[in-house]
Amino acid sequence: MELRDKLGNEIILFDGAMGTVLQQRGLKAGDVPEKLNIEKREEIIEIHKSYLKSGAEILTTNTFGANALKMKEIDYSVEEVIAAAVENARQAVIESKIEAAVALDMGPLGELLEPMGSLSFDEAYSLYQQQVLVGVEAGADLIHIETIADLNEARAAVLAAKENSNLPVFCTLTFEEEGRTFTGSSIRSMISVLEGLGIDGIGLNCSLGPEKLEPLVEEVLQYSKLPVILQANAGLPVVENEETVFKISPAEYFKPLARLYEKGLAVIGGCCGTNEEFISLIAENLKNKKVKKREVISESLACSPSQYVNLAGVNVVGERINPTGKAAFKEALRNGDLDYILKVAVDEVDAGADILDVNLGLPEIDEKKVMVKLIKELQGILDIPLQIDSSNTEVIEDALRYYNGTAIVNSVNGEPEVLEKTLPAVKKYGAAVIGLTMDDDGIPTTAEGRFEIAAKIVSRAAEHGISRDKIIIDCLTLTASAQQEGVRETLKAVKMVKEKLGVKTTLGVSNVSFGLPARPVLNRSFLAMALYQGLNLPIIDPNDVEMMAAVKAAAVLNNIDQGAAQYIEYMSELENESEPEKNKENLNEEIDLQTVIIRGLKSESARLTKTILKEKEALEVVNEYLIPALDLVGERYEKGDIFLPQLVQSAETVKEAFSVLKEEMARTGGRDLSKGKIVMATVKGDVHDIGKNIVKTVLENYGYQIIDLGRNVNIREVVNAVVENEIRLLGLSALMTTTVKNMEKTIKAVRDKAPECQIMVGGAVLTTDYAEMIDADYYARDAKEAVEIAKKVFVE
Amino acid sequence: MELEIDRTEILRYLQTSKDLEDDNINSLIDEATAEIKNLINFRYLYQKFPIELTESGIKVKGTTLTLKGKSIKRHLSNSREIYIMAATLGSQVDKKISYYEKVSVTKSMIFDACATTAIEAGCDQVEAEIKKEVLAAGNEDITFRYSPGYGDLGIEIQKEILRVLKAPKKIGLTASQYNMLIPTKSVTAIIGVIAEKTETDSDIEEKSDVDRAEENLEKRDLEFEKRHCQKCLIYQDCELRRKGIYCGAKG
Repeated sequence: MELRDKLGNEIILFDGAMGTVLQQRGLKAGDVPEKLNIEKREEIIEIHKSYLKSGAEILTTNTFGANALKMKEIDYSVEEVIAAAVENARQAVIESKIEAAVALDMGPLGELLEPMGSLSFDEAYSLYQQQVLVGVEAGADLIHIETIADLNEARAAVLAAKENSNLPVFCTLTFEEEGRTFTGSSIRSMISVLEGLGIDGIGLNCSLGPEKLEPLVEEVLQYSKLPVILQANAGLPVVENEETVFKISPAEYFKPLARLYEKGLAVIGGCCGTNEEFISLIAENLKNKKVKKREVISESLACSPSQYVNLAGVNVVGERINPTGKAAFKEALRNGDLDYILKVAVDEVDAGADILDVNLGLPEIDEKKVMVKLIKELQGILDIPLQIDSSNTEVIEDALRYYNGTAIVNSVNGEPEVLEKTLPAVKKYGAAVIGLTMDDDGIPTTAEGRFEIAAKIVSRAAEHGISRDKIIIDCLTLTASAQQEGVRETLKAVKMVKEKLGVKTTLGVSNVSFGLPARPVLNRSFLAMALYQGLNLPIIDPNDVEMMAAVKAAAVLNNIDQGAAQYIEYMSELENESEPEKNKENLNEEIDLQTVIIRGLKSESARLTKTILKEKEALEVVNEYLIPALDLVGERYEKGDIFLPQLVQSAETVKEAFSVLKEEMARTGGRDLSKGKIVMATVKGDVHDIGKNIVKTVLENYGYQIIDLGRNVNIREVVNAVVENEIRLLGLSALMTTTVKNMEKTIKAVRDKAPECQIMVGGAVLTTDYAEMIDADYYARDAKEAVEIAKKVFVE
Repeated sequence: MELEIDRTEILRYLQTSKDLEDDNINSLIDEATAEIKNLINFRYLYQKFPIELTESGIKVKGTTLTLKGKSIKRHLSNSREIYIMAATLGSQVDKKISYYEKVSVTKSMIFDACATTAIEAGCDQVEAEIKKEVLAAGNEDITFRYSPGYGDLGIEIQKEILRVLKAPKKIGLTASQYNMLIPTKSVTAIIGVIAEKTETDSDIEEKSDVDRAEENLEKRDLEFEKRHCQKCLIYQDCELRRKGIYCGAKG
């Protein structure tokens, strides 16, 4: 029977461990097992044969680490190793005359992906792609991706497998007992993401014995529609006489498997510490048995690796990441100041948003590039699921490729052309999608008209293989002042699509009140009505406490929030938050800005600056308040009266004042306060950023505009930023002896393309001599020296 | 394993007086200490290996590993067995440091200092566990923890150490192509078993007097230097040490 036909219908048996068996046969710790495919062919074939005899139907090639990163350490290429490994498995099949499929095994790359590590998604993809291409060429029957801890790495591997072969793809992650991978991925997010990518089998392997993994596998069986795989370790290893041994017996190992078989497990094999005896016992009991039918809880999620939102509930989508009508946001986007946007996101999360809408629609920027970068940055610091908001299909495609999780796409509409262009990407990446009830003829006035478009979207999506639980319909909020009768039609349509099409619903809310007084009242009332009609995803400003409260209240009144638990929690958090503010005000009503800066009272700083701005020009505020305070703080630091954290705290307090001034400037179009633009970056390979951020904050205090490229920055990106912005001063930071080399290369590349740019360097391992050696113009020991350097450069 | 995060240590990593009087900073330290405890997923492992002195360096038997350089040779001069250990706070701590970098540089500094204190505390506990095992086996003592990057022991062996211990699979600890440990709040170290009592390193202790004491003394940690730096080959010439920064030895 073909593997694909058997999969999910009858039990399929994998083989057991390769690595630990090789170690028992004398492979040294730290050695590369993949080279044995070539150097000890007979031995590898022998192990394969023993698994065939014990009943395995799939042989896993000895290619766990056969990627170009790891193969650098040995004398053979990826091509040679994988070709030999597939050949060995085939040879075993031929010699034993037992039919079996050969699975190309792909383990983790050994380096962590961005943003945790320095390996990019594209690099990871290319490494896996190479393995897949060689594996396909060598004649593998399926691709088995295993022992992955980082969901993004799994995504890279699965995409490489799907885009470069037609073979079935299995993927298993490795979990700790608490149900998380080392990088924090949950079972539910794994299911959502990997099912979305269209793999053929899903599950767990390695880490623990089958008994410990049992509850986790049960969760997979409960929520995944796919055939479920388990390849557990033979319990936990113990060291005895300097040797690692696994102590549980095949019989003990089998017990939990028998229970899981009853619950619907479909593919079984062994991982570390197992051998042919384990496989034999499983084969004796389960081989060719029918897979037990199970009930699957069907749910549609938006998720990041560690956090998920069930779209069927009521969840708030934060709308603040959007430049429309926001001068400071637009300015930040034009300047590439993603930190500004990240702060907006952090505020939304703190305010209680469940999902963040990300819209970067500003004509003068490269939306695709910025979107991808922002998604990476957002995911580097936050766990909240994202909603990709763009009208450009290419932006959506790239965003979905690099977003680590299951995203929502905002949006498609009833226009056939839009649907045809966007739905394939939605399907490919397993995203959920918002459909607007409008088409070439505009927005239908009646609920029935909008329902029709929704129905069309649902059926078009179905043609692309997108099920309706992934579809969210936006019935479009109209403005009460202009189309009063239309408001009710929207509400009616919400109920209709929800009940008759079984889709989820979303609405932007605040449009409804446009042009009328006391807008918040109308917004809240409309929101409450829409929630009663069955609205799932209100798109609102989560910082608006009244609106958030209305969502929580409606959840109580609609009997969704059982026992009003969430409502009570939200309200008590609100109370807690407002308390510290009161404390601060009690400090001293008459506190001046200078004292605020010296004491590092950030929130006071913004408030006082706004007050002073009523009477003074922005530049006056800088010269009369900020600079003198900074000088004083600097002096005290020099003298040792205050310490580094206090200096930084004061610098950040000044920064708050500056951002008020900047917003004022953006609003009034006043004169630029900037004394000069400086590009700063932590070089490729370095993922520490704090030192550079301190220097950045202090430089900003002195009026310099910093284009911060972040950390682990490619040489090309630094050069581009310097050239595009005609930069006169570049600051580079490196923290390790190994990454200073990249600093040197970066300097060389900048010298080639922008010889007039001056370069200052800093970081723990640098010295004046070293800076000179790598051709930097200046070495900045600390933030203060960096300011002196900047003054010098920009006076010249 | 519950990690003890010592406030004095945090202040030291912040290059700050231990009697710091700043309500804001002090309460940030308290908050960070409480918060980080929920994010730490402390995982560690260690394994004992016999070693053998060869021409190319110290061979770690049963593995592919050879420890090269004069400083590790000196460090293990009284040992015939070593422990190799690896420990990490996990990736959530890194993520939170990144988060605070965007929200508040002050907080990120403090959080980073807390994390460094925590991983050092974790390693101290692992070291104590190893010491207990070593003494129980009838040995005299252990050496201090010696990490790649100390002295002339290159950090290039980071990946191989991790591979020998199977650290990526077992505790999720990896090294980047630049040999930076990721998650970043992690340590690998080599500890020698001292079977019998030997003479103290009196010659080394003398050297500390030659120290250029006037430079950055307030930023330096002489206690730490005594424990970790004095045996280093480049002890006298070390720029980092004079700046009070230290090499891979400190966070």
